[in-house]
This record gives sequence, structure tokens and C-alpha cells, in this order.
Amino acid sequence: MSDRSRDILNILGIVFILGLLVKIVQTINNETKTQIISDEGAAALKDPKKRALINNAIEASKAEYLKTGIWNAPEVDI
Amino acid sequence: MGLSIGFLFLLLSIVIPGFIFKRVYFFGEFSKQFTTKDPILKSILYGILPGIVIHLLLIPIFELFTPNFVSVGSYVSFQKSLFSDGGLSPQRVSEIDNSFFPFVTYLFVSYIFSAILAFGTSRLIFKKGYDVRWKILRFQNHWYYIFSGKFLDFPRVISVHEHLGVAENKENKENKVSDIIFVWADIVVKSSDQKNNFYSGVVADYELDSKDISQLDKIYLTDTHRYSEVKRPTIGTNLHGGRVIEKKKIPGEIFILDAKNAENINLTFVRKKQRAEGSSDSKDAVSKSPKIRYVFLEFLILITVFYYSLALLFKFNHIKFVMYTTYIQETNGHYFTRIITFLFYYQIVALFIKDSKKRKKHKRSISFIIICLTLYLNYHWLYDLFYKIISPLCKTYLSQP
Repeated sequence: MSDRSRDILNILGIVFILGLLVKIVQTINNETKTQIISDEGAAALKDPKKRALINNAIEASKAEYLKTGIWNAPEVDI
Repeated sequence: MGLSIGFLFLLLSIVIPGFIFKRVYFFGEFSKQFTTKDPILKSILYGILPGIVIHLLLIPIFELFTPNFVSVGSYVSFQKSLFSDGGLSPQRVSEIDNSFFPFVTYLFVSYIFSAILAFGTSRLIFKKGYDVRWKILRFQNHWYYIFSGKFLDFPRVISVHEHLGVAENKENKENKVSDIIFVWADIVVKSSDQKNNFYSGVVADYELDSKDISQLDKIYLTDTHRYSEVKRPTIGTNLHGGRVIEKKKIPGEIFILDAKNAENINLTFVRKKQRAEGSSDSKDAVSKSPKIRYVFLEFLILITVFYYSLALLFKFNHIKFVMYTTYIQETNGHYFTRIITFLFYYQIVALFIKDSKKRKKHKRSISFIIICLTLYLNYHWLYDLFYKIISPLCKTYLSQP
């Protein structure tokens, strides 16, 4: 292998490693988000239909609790 | 002069790596835990402890990879040259001069190392939920654990639930906490005229008090409603002594509430409904016939794991990594050591093997990193295969008239 092709391979190797590092940091950051509202939740709140579903589910849970004394956390099909 | 150089040395080599570690360690919602408002002595002390640990970890690594560049000996001799009594003799100046460049390089590497170590440690603790399980590793922002619902997984809360008989089995409960999509808050706020106002909405964000991070400063609500008592002697479902409780939507995107005046906060965790297994519309559902490229990649990963497990026991000339050749040289004739390494390797590999339930979800997500790592580990024999077999074949084929 000539010196030139070795140099090119070295540069490619460094670029590859740097790219890999950036990708690793991005992946780790994405998987360790600390927001308190999930992406799915935020998207659902922007949709008026889903928002209505959420409000209904919360009201239903509260009403059921007042009626039966058993708390079932609201679950929404989003 | 001795004191000032000594302090500078302590600051540069131990305190600053400690500071960098702390700055990177407390990320996202926990970043307020790192503050520059602490008393200087407290900051230095808390910087020294991680700084010492960083050096204890880094020096052996540095010595291993650069045995002729920086060693503990050269590090100590640099310190000795700096702090020894007596004037600046030519010999002492030359000693300082010779060890200066390795020392600065080591210092620079120690800064990067402390950042990487902090980044990896904090993210690992957070991702694996060790902070939830063990109080000692918990970040100080307890409001995050409350608003995210993670406090439901605290051992103390679990034991209370078990005691009350409300906890479901562990596997189900874990799924439930991870299924929380947001938290709905009902908040009673006392106004300046001592009247109680009642608000409810989805908690979008919050702010901690800058002086005392255990206190809430602001709560950001979205889809906010306000409840107020209205004099309306009509028949209503919420009738309280001739007054009706009226629920009004507050127009706007975000409602900022001064949490300092909050009297009570009632939280309701809204969860995503679990779809029945095998439902066709599930986003996470994996096709029964996995795509051919995933099968190929899994096969490649399997081959790599198997190939390298054999390479730990027997010498493979194809593998040309320096670490591997050193390992083979060092363990030549020591088959017991090789077997121990082989078993350790399988323990590490086992960490990445998910159970069958989780695998179904993650099957689609063979990440780019694993693909790159697999290709890198197989680079030598792929290179040989291409240059020794495929390339000559192509040349022969192309040279034919």
C-alpha cells in the first residue's frame, strides 16, 4: 500500500472515529432525556381530538374514584 | 512563591478536573446541582475528591498506553522540581523543562478524561435507573423524580405500596412507570388577598429556586383550567351551598404559575394504554418476518462474537490489533488466564443480550454504532478477503479480452 493511500485511509479512519463519537454522544443524549413530558405526550396534546380523549380519561378516573374509592390511573390510547 | 505555585499546581491538576467532572456529571434537569455560588473552600474540597479519583484511574491507563511519555515517576519528579527548596539551578531548570510538555499533555488528557468519565457515569446511572434504586446515587432534584413519576419506583414507595397491597407485580409496575406520558397537576395557590385559587393542567416544565434547589420556583402548565366559585343559584352538579364551581379554560399556550405560593399539588400520572400483543396497528410491533438486512446483521454480530471468543483462547494471525497481540504474547502458555478472560468476555457480551420480551421491541433498532463496531472488528479479514481474493479475481476477469 502506497504512502498516499495509507494517508487517505488514516484520514478516513479519523473522520470515521469522530463521526462515531458524535453518533455515540447523540444516541446517549437521546436515550437520557430528562424532560418530564414525553414526546408522545407532547404530540398528543397538540392534537385536539387526543387532548379531548386525555381530558375525558382524567375526568373518568376522578369520577370513578369518587364513586368507588378505587383509584385507577387514567390511560389513554394515543 | 512556593505557596502560589503549589496552589496553582493543585488547582490545575486536581481541582479543575474535579470541577469539569461535576459540571458534566450534572446534566439536563440536574444541572443546577452544579453551582459556582458555593463557598470557595467547599468548592475546592468537592473538586479535590473527584479530582483524586480521576488521577488514580487515569495514571495507570496513561502509563499503559504511553509508557515512555508520562509516568507516575515523571509526574512526581515534576512536582519535586517545582517544590524543592533552593534556587533555580541549571539542573532544576532543565528538569522542569523536560517534564513540562509531558505534564501539560497529561493535564489536557486528564481534563478530557474527566469530562468523558462524568458523561459516561451520569448517563449510565440515569439510563439504568441506579439513581432511582439507590439513594446514594440520586440527583438532588427531587421534583424531577416526582413530576416524571420515577419516584413510584423508589424502594421506599414500592415497600409502602406492597404494604398497602396496591402494588402490582414488579414487571407490570415497571412497564407502568415507563408508560407515563405526562403528569396532570391540580394546584391550589394562595393569592395576595389570602384567597385560594385552583388551577389544573399538564405540567410542561418547572423551574427550581436558584438559591435553594429543593424548592420549586415556577411551574409551567399547558392545557390549563381555572376553577372558581360562582354565585349562580341554578341547578348544577357541582353545587356547594348555593354556589357553583365553574371550570374555565385559560386561553394561551403556557400558563406560568408562581409555585412559591402553591399550597397543595395533586398529581395524576397519565399513562399510555398498552396495546394487546399482536395488534396490527402498534407502532412497536415487529413484523413476524424480520427484514433480511436485520437477519444478516444479527448473523454478522453472532459470527463476530464467536470469532473473537475463539481468538481469546487461540492465537489468530488475522487480528492485528496491538492490544490483541500484546494479550496473546502476555498470556502465552497461560491457558488458565485465557479461560478466565474468555469467561469475562462472555459476561460482558451477556450484558447486551436482552430478554426475549424486550428483544421483540428492540429488534428493529440494531444501531448504527453496533454496525460500525462489527465492521471495524471484522476489518482485517474483510480487508484480506477483498485484496487477496476478490481484487485478484476482478483483475483477472477484467484483463481477459
